[in-house]
Amino acid sequence: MKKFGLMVLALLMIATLSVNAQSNKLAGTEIRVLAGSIPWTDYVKAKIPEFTQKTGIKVVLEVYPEEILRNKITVELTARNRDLDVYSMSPPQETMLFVKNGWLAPIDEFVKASPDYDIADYIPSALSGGEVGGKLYAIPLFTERPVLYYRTDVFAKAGLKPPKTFDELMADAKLLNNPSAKMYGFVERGAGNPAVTQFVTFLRGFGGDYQSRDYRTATLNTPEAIKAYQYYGEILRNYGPPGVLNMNWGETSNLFAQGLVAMRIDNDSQFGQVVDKNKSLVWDKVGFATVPAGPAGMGSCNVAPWALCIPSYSAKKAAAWEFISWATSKEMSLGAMQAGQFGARQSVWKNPQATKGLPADLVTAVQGNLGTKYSDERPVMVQVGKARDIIGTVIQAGIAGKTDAELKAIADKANAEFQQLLDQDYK
Amino acid sequence: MKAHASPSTLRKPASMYMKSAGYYIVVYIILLFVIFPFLWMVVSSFKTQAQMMDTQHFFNFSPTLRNYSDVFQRYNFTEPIVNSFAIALISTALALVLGLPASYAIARYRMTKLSIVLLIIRMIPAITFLVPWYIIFSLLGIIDTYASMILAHMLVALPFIVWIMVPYFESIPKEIEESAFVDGSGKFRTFLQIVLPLCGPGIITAAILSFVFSWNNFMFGIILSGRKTKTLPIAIYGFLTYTDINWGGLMAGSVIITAPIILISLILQRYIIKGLTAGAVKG
Repeated sequence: MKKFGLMVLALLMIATLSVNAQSNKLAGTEIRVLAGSIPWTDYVKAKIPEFTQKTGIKVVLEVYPEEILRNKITVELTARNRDLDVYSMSPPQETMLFVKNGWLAPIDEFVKASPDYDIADYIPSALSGGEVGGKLYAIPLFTERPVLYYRTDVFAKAGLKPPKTFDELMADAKLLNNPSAKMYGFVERGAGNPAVTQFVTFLRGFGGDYQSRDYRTATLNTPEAIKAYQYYGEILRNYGPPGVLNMNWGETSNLFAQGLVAMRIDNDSQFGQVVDKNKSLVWDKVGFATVPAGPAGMGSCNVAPWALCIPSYSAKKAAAWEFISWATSKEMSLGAMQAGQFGARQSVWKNPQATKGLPADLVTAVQGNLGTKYSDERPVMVQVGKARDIIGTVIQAGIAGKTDAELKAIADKANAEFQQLLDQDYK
Repeated sequence: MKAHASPSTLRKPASMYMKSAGYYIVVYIILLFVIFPFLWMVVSSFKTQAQMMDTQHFFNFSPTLRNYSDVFQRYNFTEPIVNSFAIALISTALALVLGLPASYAIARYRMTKLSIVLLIIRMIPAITFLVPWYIIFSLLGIIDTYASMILAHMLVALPFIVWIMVPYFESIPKEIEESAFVDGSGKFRTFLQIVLPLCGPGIITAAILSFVFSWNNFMFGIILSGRKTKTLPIAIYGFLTYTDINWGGLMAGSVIITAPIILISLILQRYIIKGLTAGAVKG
């Protein structure tokens, strides 16, 4: 009996040893990760010791603001640095360019080999931003979409409910606009290039789009698009604050936080700026609603602005995937959501624990948007930046109040330029 | 200001007073535009973000020190301050050690070709160097060390110092050196003990300007620095994130970055003005 016990013990010991050896075959590897400074990164950074303890993989995490990160990554990848194993990039802006440059390694094999990871749990539209030619290159970290920010006190006083259609939005903006009392009806980005990702809600609401669905044809001058430029121009010109042509999200957010506008549309990820007592004079009077729908239906999107990926030059891809799959697991996504970063997994949205600390109407507003068919809010191509500049000129012409004929001419010209870029990118 | 000392001002006709009053009004208007951003920066660094954007209460607010404690605690500014100082100081010092003899030689022996090469280095946009540098420095394994940052900053500081100092050395009469030679002083000793002290203002100007350049340089820092050698201009970017702009912290950080430069410039401004006009006087 004693002998048998010893044998069992020995067997057990061998078994544990081999299990350890299995999970630790990557132990001792050191990977270098470059990430942007977003709440997600703060959350994950604090948890890295747990990951190292579990897998034995050491992680050197460098965190940089968006602009610096982009520059750094560009230089490192141009120089084919083998010393970079994971980085975060912006799928809508960069996936196609980076794939074309050979800067991204496909991760389908890794995903297939990790059934527990449950890739099907991702919101499909969020995942598609990291796909090119049927291959997956990036795992989204969080999602965002436009929501309507409105002043609950102003709406209550006027006896209004948040607008559900474009017509209601225009009517409410008109009613609430009262510049002499320092209250403007509505604000949204008016600076050309940044406005592209917000204007698209109206463009699609009227039935237009930037490109045909195969991405090859420019559609900036369709009758639907013209209607959208006019609408966006009219509401900002007549019921928006002065100087709107220079405004990006930071400026519109400040105006709202100062209590100078009744309604604002921009991404939900910025909500912290207006509900924080230190940053906002109206922190307790902010309401959220799903963006209004247009005559052609809901035009808003569901975008994954940041994602993790593996550079093709990395020599430690297996360890890199180990890190990514841990950092974006269900458990970690839940934690990140509680830290204020809206997840890209469906499971977190179904979990009441995840949204407990968030404004209830914000959660409803976001949920009203999760079913949208759009996963992109800017042109899908390589030369995104140039295309945004071109589209921006037409949006600004609309705000400046050009006549229909002038606007059509400007849109025609922009369309031709945009088509040229598309021809170069989709040869 | 000098006018007070001169007795002739006492007999100035009224129109002269009008003229000088007009002069000061113009000066103050220009000053207003120059100083207002600084004033706004300093005042804002003691405000919360909500107070900052509230134009109604520009001066009338309850000040907070939270931005400053954020700068050092949350954003950990101490390290970048040390890094920036070390890199700016060492790169300026090394550039002086190499640049002063070089510019003296160029001035005395009329090496125009060399000086043109140096000018061309200064004319090429520094960003063109970055990728080759990154490749070379990473092969040498000195990315994210002081060495790479100092070398990069020297490439800009060196031509700069040479171009300020050449006209300065040229303006010193050869006779002074010749009399030193007659007294038995060697070339090196003459340079060190006679020529250099005469160029004090020029050297101080060149040193300050190259220090300021290094202190403010952002582009090299993005690529060549890393976790360990992050400099101030990089650190201050930490206040801008994808979903948040921390204006209060940004202002407090800016005050901290600007203060040393303003202090140095105020203390040494007399020399800077002399140094900047040195080339012009010579004609």
